[in-house]
Amino acid sequence: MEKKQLSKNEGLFVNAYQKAFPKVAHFIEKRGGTFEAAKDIFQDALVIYYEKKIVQENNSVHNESQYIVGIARHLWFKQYHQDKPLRSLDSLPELKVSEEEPLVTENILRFVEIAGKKCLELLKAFYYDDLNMKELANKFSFSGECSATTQKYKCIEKIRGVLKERSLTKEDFYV
Amino acid sequence: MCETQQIEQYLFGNLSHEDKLLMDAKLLLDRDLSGKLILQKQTYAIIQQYGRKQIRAEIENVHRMMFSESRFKNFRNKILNIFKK
Repeated sequence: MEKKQLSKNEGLFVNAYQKAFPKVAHFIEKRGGTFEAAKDIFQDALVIYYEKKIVQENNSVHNESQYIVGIARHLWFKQYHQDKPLRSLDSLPELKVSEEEPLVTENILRFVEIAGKKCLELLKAFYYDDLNMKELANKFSFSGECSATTQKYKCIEKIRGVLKERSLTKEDFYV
Repeated sequence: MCETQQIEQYLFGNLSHEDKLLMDAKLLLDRDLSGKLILQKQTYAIIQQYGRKQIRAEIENVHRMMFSESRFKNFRNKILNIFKK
């Protein structure tokens, strides 16, 4: 049975697919790219778009479709000139927050996901999806904004504790 | 302000000039505090990575939906025709 109602993010991405993916597909097909390549590039572009528009509340993005197509073209040319697939979206200057950002390996992320999933969800909602305290309180059924704020900091302390525990086992040194 | 909140304000550059200087001094003198700061910085990086991972999964779900559900048939045909040539 097909889903009838889309979530807010789903609506955003469906809209982006409908308006921008055909243009990206044309662009990539003309340059000898496959459907899979178009899909990968487009999805990378959507991540960048999401972070710039939603997370950074960038209201300077007026024509979203054009913006996404622009990012996709940039990613394609970057990949084409490097003559190899982009290893990680995180290496792109567009997504770099700081040169000093700590390295997060997939191992560490998986470890924290297992040890602190609920906290990670809450912190992601606040820091990545940019929910305000009222929205956070509603989403996670807190009694109010104060309670949500307290829990937010408790969760940071929990993740810190998880990382400290992991660093004491020194697993990563043997990876 | 609790310690965790203070570390956050320091890392995000939201402390006053005086409070930042005070924090700089505390970090030099208190190894426990400086250790917490490093871990908290890593915590924010993990949140970012996790967020990105989740959003990618959402985008992939939308992709699967648009290339399988009947309500997106016209869109699907439009795309597949581009690569048929």
